[in-house]
Amino acid sequence: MLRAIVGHVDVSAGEIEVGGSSVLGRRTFKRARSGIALVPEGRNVFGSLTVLDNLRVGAHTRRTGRWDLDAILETFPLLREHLHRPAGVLSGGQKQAVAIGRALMSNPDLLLLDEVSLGLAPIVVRDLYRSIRSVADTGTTVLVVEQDITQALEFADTVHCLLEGCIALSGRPDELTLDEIRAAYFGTVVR
Amino acid sequence: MIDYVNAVLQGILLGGLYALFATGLSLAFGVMRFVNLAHGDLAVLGAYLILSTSTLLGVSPWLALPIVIVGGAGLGFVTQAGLFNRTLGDNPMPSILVTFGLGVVIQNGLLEHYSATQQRLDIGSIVTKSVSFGKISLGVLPLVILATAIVLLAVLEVALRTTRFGRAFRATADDARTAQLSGIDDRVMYASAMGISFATLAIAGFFLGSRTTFAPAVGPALLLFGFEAVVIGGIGSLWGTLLGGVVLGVSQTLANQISIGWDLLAGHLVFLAILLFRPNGLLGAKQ
Repeated sequence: MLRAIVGHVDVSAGEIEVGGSSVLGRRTFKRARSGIALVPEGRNVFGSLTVLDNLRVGAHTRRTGRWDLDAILETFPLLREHLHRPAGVLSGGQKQAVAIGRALMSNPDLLLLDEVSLGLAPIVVRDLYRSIRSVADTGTTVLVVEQDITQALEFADTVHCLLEGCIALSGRPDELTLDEIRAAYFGTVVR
Repeated sequence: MIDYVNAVLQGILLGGLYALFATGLSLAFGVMRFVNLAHGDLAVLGAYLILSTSTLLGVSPWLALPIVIVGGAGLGFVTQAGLFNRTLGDNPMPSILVTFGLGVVIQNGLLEHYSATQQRLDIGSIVTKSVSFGKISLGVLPLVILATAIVLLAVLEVALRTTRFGRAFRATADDARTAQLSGIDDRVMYASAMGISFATLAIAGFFLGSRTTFAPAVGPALLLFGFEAVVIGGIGSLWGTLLGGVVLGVSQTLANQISIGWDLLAGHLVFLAILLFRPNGLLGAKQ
């Protein structure tokens, strides 16, 4: 779904609107320049570029706002000591931080995160979510797609549960029980 | 002994020409994994365009060169944007066929327009000048060619490392899809790479045409030397391309010193040996 929003996969039917205007028919780089940033699944960093260059590439949309190099390093202090190392040699959590930082450098209106926690230690995921929460608090819309929901629920404002492409359940995390979510996820009836 | 020293030095100078010729190939191949089989024919086309521009305007090829460099850059950009970009994808076959076809078209077009007569660019007395160190004498023109190759590669290397454009370029080479997510138009990057590649071809064609004679059919042999230089040096490494050109040049002149006529074969054998023992090239990154 996220890949469709950024234009990496084609949409055969329907409509995608971001901020009230349709994004269909616009190529990926144009969507990025209009303020949609995706952190793809699998922590895609530019492996041969330094961490610093990775972050600078994020600024290629020429969008300005509160996110610049200093702000990113404040949010992800762990990157500070690795700035001049190639991003390819970092650990999984560090790469994820680079990928998120790079997305933030474009000062997006909408930040899309795909499977943030995949393959990361719970403690690392916790730190990442704390950072993501602080990003959301600055007014950027953050959409996280996540299968491992226990940590995500703690930081989210609203939860939507998708079943076969349709929203099966939505609400505030504190209004929903894990049983309800599980039922919506698997399509079973709540008893 | 002195003969061998001389052979090595001449080989290094010859390598400068190969490196100059391979620079554009290295760039396009390194950034896009794009195999341009028309590269050799385009260099010959460059030489002819300089010849025609110089005759038409009645100026020295030295003055025609900048015009053809600028024109070449534009032509490269347009060719990539309008033609080559349509062949990009996971399957390399379309690009190979299209560039092969373009090479054939260029060769026959040149043959039609200029005939098969050998041509030469007259760039003045520099061609016959040389500097001597004892028994060794080095041509001034080959020295200029080597220096040009080094300067060109250095400028490209620094531009790739330090400029905003260079950063976008390296990001696209690393992962084009992810680069798009940062607002980089990969198609424009590819077109720019080909523009730079064609511009370097104008320079290569200029020196090719002034160092030896040229005819419409010499392109494919040049392509082979260019590819060998790129692969020996290591794909994706610009300095590797210089080293690759020099290794190729030295193998050829040394073999020729040992036994006349063995130069081409020796160059190819060294290339095959490198492929066998260092498939990533001398300075290439490990995949």
